[in-house]
Formats: sequence, C-alpha cells, structure tokens
Amino acid sequence: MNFSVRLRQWLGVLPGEAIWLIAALTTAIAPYAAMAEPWLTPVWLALMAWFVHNVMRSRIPGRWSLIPATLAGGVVVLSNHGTLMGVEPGLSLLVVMTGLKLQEIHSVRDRLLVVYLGLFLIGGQFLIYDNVLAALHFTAATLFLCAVWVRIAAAAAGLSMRWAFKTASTIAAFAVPVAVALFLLFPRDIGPFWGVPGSGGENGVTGLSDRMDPGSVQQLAESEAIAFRAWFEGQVPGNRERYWRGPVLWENDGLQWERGLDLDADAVAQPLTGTGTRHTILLEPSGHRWLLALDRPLGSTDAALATDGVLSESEPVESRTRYQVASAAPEEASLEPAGGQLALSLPETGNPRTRALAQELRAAADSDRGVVEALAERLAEAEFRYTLNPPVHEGSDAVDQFLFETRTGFCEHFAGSAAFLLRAAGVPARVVMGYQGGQRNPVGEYLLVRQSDAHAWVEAYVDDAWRRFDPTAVAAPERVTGETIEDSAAAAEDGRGSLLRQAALTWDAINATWHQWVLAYNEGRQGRLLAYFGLEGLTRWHLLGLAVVITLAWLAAAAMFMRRRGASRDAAAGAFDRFRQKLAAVGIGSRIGEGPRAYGERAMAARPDEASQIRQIVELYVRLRYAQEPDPGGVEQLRRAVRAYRPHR
Amino acid sequence: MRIRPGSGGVLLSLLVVLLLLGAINYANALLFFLAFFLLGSGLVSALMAWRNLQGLTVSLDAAAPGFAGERLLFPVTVTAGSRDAEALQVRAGGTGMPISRIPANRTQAVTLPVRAAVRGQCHIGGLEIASEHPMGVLRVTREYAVDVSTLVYPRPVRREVPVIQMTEAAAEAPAPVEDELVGLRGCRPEDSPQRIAWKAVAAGRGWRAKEFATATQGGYRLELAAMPGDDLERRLALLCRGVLDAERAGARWLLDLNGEVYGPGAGWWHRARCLEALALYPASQK
Repeated sequence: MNFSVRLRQWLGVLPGEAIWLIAALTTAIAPYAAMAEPWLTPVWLALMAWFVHNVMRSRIPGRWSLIPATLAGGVVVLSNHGTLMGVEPGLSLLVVMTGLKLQEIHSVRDRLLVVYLGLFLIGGQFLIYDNVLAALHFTAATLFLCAVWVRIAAAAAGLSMRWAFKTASTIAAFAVPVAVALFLLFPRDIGPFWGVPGSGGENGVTGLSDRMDPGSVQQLAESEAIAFRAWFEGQVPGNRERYWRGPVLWENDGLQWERGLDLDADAVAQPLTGTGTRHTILLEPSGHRWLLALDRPLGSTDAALATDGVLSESEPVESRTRYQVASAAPEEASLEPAGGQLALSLPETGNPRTRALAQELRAAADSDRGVVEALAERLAEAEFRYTLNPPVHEGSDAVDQFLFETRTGFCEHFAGSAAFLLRAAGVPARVVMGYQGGQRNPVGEYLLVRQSDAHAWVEAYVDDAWRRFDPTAVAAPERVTGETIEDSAAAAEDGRGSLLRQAALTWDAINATWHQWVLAYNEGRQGRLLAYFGLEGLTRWHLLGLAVVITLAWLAAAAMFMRRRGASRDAAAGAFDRFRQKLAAVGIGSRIGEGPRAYGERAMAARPDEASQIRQIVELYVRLRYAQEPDPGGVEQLRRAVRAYRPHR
Repeated sequence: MRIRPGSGGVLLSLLVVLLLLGAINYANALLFFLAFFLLGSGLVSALMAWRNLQGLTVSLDAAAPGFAGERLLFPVTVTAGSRDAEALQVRAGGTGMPISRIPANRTQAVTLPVRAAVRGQCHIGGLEIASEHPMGVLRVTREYAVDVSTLVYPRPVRREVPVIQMTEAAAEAPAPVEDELVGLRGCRPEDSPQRIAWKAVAAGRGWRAKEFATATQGGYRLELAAMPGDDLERRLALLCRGVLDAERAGARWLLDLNGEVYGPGAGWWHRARCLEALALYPASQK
C-alpha cells in the first residue's frame, strides 16, 4: 500500500478536531521549537504521535503512564536548560506540559484548556520574538487557535472548520477595535511585579561596556547587531559629526580605562530646551543604565544628565527604549570644569617612553592646546596601522608597546594611549566610549547604528572647555571619514547589489516603524498621545474608566450592527416573523414545511375571533412576498398590522 | 433567558489576567495586545451568544404513545428570528438534540427521544434551548413553557409468556361479521396498499390504514383479578402482553380491570382503548 493512501486512511480515522488541534498548536509553538530549542521538535512530535495513537484507539492513557511521562518531561526540560526558572525554560516546560495535557482530554473544558495553553504559549514567545515577521506568524496562529476554539465550543453541532474560521474572523473583526482602545489607554505606569530575568548585561547581549580593555570594542567590530536607531528633526548630521556619546571613563591603568565615577553622583534631570539638534533614539536593550545620544547631550525626556555629559536611566535598559535628546557640539555644550586631579591621575609607574615623549611635547609647546596639536602631528606622521586584529599589548608598559613598537591597533589603543600621554603632559584628559557613524536609511529617514560602529575617543580640557580629540581619526582617517562606504557607495554598486541593498533597507525601515509605533509604546508615548487629544493629566483610574467606556460603547454599536444586518435582509419576513412569535407565545407555533397561508388557516381555526386580523396580515405578507416590485408602503402596512395584533391569552 | 459562564468562561478570564500580568511585568506591547484581543474576543462572543438565541420560537408536539422503557419521539420545531441561529442544543425531558444551524426566519425540525420510565402520562412541562456558541464563554439558556403529554403504556412482559392461552375463551363473545370496517389505525410496514386509507392520507391526517375486524377464533377474557401474583405493575404488564397478542392474533377480547370492562371488541381501536386503560389504571396504594 502506498504511503499517501495509508496517510489518508489514517487521517480519515482521526476526528477532525484532533487534526485541527494538533495543527493549530504546532503552528503556535513552531517558532520557538524550530529556532530556539531544536530538541523540542522531536519531543513535541513524539507527544503528537502518542496522541494520535490514543485517539485512534479512542483511549485515554491512565495515571500510570501519564505521571511518569510528566516527570520525564520535567527532567528533559531541566537537563536541557539546567533550570526551570526564566522565560525559556518556562516556555519549554509549558510546551511539554501542553503536549501532555492533550493526552488526557475528557471534556469540552479540557479541550478549551489546551487551546488556552496554546494562546498562552504565543504570549510567552512574544518575550523572545517581537519582530514584524514573528508578529505576522503569531497573528495567523492566534486566528487558527480561535477557529479551533469556536469549533470545540460548538462541538455537539458538528460544524465545519471553514465555518469556524468564518465565525472566528467575525469575532476578531469586532474584537480588534476593543484591543486597540485598551492597548492605547490601559495605564502603563504599573509594575513590574517580579524581577525581569536579565536579558542584557552579563547575559550575553554584546554591546558597549563602561570599561575599556584592549579587545572590548574590537569584539563588537564583527557584530552586525543593531545598537540603536536615531531620527532627526531636520538635517541629519554628516558622518564626521556622528559621534554618539556613551559612558565617560576617568580611571586609568595603562591601556585600561574604567568609569571611576558614580552615575548618580551629580546627575540631574535636564528637560529639553529650545536649542540644540533634536533627535529621537530607539535603543536596543543594553543591560546598562547609561544611554547613548549625539555628542553632546544638553537635555532629554526622562533621563538624567551627569556633569560629564552622560545620560542615564534609573534602571538598566532591559527592553527597547525610546527617548528624545537635544545635543550641541561638545565645546559649545559644556560649562563643565576641568575635573581636577581626577582628570590627570596616572599609575605611579610604567610606560617610561610615553612619559618622556609627553615631557618633550610639553616642553616644546606653549599651551595645553599646543600639546594636543603636537600630539596630533606626531600621530599623523608616524605610520600607524588601524586593524581589527592587532597584536597583543600587555603588562605595565602596554602604551609604550603600542606607540613605539607595534604601532598597530584599534580605536581603543589610540584613545587609551592618547589620553595617557595627554595626562602625562599635564593636560586633563579622559576617554569617551560610544559609537561613531551610522548607516542612513533613506526609506525610513533615520540613522541605523550597529554594534560594529562602536568607538572610543578622547576628550581633553583645552581653552576652558572639554574638547573632542579623536586620535583614531588623525592616525587612521579612513575609520572616521568612511562616509564613502555608506552615503555615496550605493551609486557605484551594480544593479543587483543595490536592489538587495534597497530591499534590506526597506525591511529595516518596516521593522523600525514597527518598533517605534507598536513595541515602544510606553508610558511616555501614551502621555504624548493623550496630550495630542488634549487629555493631559489623566490618572490611571481615569484612563481605565475611559477604556471601559469606549469598550462598552463599541460593543453597543456592534450589537446594533448585528441587529441591523439581520433585519435588513427582508423587512416583510421580519415583520411576519414577529407575527409568528406572537402566535407561538399563545401556543400556535409554525410547523415545518408549512406555508404562510396554511399557517394562517390553522391560526384562524384556533382563534376565530381574531380571524380578520390574521387574514389581513397573512394576505399582506403573501402579496409582498410574491410581488415583482418592492413595495415599501406595503411593508409599512404589514409592520403596523403586526404591531397592532395582540392575541389574547 | 438565563446566562451563565460557559465551559471556557472562567478559564478564559484567568488566561487574560495571566497574560496581562505578564504584559505589565515585562512591559511587552505584544503581550498587552494579545491579552486585550482575547478580552475583546470574549466580550464580543458573549454578545454574540446572547444574540444567537434572540427571537427563537419553538413548538413542541405530542409524541405517539409508547411503552414504558421505550423512547418517545417528541417532534420539536425551532424557528430562527431575524438572524441565523447556530450551534443550538434543544433539551427537554432529560434529553437533548443538537441543531447546527437555522438560517434566519427558517424553521428546523428535530425529534427529541424522551425515555418513558413508567406507565401513565409522560408530561413535558418545559423545553429549553441552550448554546455556548461561539466560544464557550457564556452558556445562554432560554426556557419555553410548553405543556405536552403522551400516554405511556405498561411495559409488556416477554413475548414468550403465553398470557392469552391462560385465559379462557369468553363465552358471550359473538362471532364477528367478516371484514367489518371498525376504524382507522396507523400504518404498519406489512400493510398491503388495499388497506391504506388513501382518503385520510390525502386529507393530511398522516399514513392511516383501514382496520377490519377479521377475528375468526373465539374471544379472550383478560381479567386483572385473574392475573397471578401480588405486584399490580406485573399483572398490568401481563394484561398488556395479552392485549397485544390478542390483537395480533386477530381475536376478539374483553378487558376487565376490577369491574371496569372494555369490550368485548377487536382491532386497532379496541387495542388502543385497552392500552390507554392499562396506562391510566391507578397505581396500587401502599
């Protein structure tokens, strides 16, 4: 017997409901099973095979096979994740337990529970997958589960899946406006209730750190992951101005730099003012409290600004965060003092050649500015190589090794060495971590900054202001002036490449819009939306009340719509139907296959004293029913006659 | 109209609350939307459940009489209001039948098989239509006051018990006139076309057959007092078997229920009268 025939026989034996339940649940968990946890697919398929096996024998496994299976499921999850806590182990456990619950279905309620578990699993996966494609998949899976749900609820009536899909779609069409209203208005200033498992920080998100070791930026150079996106009001800055300020590092140990300052020590909220370059940043989860902004921020929504120009949130950024910033050029933006001894301190020993060079530059120059200019000259003259694979510089003389021996390194080597040298020469200096550059997306009109744009540069206190000094740009200008790569290269590329490039940019623009308008909808955006409608200052109870009122109003409108749609089918039939209801109430129900005339005869025989009224109604209805032309006057007459007819009890 | 949470109502509320807690905790926009979508679906389906039973009218007719222990078939017609009614459950007398769909303003017939437990009257005092459509969130039930009764004959004893042989032939039973038309009865499969009362059929009174008194043997005397045992129901069951066998044998018989005498007579109508008397005979006072 060939396989397809056997498969068809096999499927024919299965009740439709079992097939649809398996299909809908599998659709719902597919992204997680396929992408995140490959071991889950065979386990799930085995559970489905067991279910099919049992359904075909109309058998429900007993306690003595279900309890060991449940324990085995727990062990499988535990051995694969090492724990049962957290989002992913929780999802895995739920998938396995849903498969097991499917085995012991007794009632309609059990079937519905399985559907609800499927919907809950979709919700759980939103914590991992939230891009546009995932959202489309889960929308389809939700509708699929809702259709199976409708079919189960009407199980006894044995209705088709096609009908169930139609009904589920109707419900969804009415439910979406409710969902949108509640989504927009439900108070967002609540929670969290329990600790959100770290998705950033040590838990593997590669991103900028507030510590500069040799290699810390280098490992980001290969990461195409998105760091953030930035939208500008007005002119988008040119590539040379695209310095994105992150943490400022004060404490030095040779080539290594650390923050050395508490973020909260002098951070204050700085509201947006009229001046500066306004932009909006959508930051991917970083696991750090500090934010990124175009160098150098003057103020922002929500975040606090430290004296040294670092923006920070009160909690680490664990989910995509959106904020607005106004920035100005560093030397214009800052009235920050020199920083005293902190900006000059160096390790006691080490790097003698660098210190000697610093003294030499200091002696030759007449001012701090002169020292910086002389250093820039030296860097430009000496043949430095900028490479992603630098040799190892280590020990207490790492700066010497880089400046005088290898002369080969990455932005962190340049920045760390230059800041060291400036301090040795008595010029206050520090290292700034951040990003430099960004790809312009013409479709969405924003800058896309990737982890590979991570950068480090120096700030030196010269002429009463902290000024940016990027030694990498001086020694290896191609790193910073690389705008040819992004902005003008498209024209040079061949047609196919640019088409692909266009598609990629369009796709990112779609995702960015999705992030900006759906995923990043939070308390702040809610406030702005309400302000747009002139509804500032609503408390959460006002908001909830408003949401409830809108929901009820919509449901009332939906009820009216349902009523009218039914009524408009045939006004005459509707009126006659009311007549029939009145008669049925006194015990004269219509019979199957009985025409209006026969029904009327029977009613007149039963109620001779109302015969004339009954005859009038029946004759009017029959005339309207078989008339060639629509007759609104007749319909109105029929309606009046039916309204007037009151069968006595 | 009675409204209660359906099979999935409470669980759905729990699901929405859990999703909402997760959404708030993780500040996850899609979770918020899913929770609110399911809440909206629940509300809309509750509205649809309520609308589904609006404007429904029903009528219930009496079933044909039957014997205790059998299922009596009560014909029900349900007429939809101005919109389609879907996935209904019609319940009365402890049984239910599903109706998948009635288009607007149309009528659908179903038969309710109601189990008749004891002889006497099988009375149906109420009929309800329930539905959990479309999502099992609400169970909406509408009750209709109906008042329909059907006779339930005693359950006859086994066919093998020779009841009529135990009775003596009634001496006074006169010989019948051959082929005397004594009335009409319901059709049976073995009836020849000549026996069918075509006039009655044409008049819409259903399939009827002519009943002739064709008894050729002597009659039987079925007396309650003559039945063995103390159990009244058992003795009535014996008499019931006797009536059935006598009629099948084409005999004339007389039924004597402690002085209430039926007959002597023969044929379908006599059988029906006797069975009715057996059905309604007062139960023993104990």
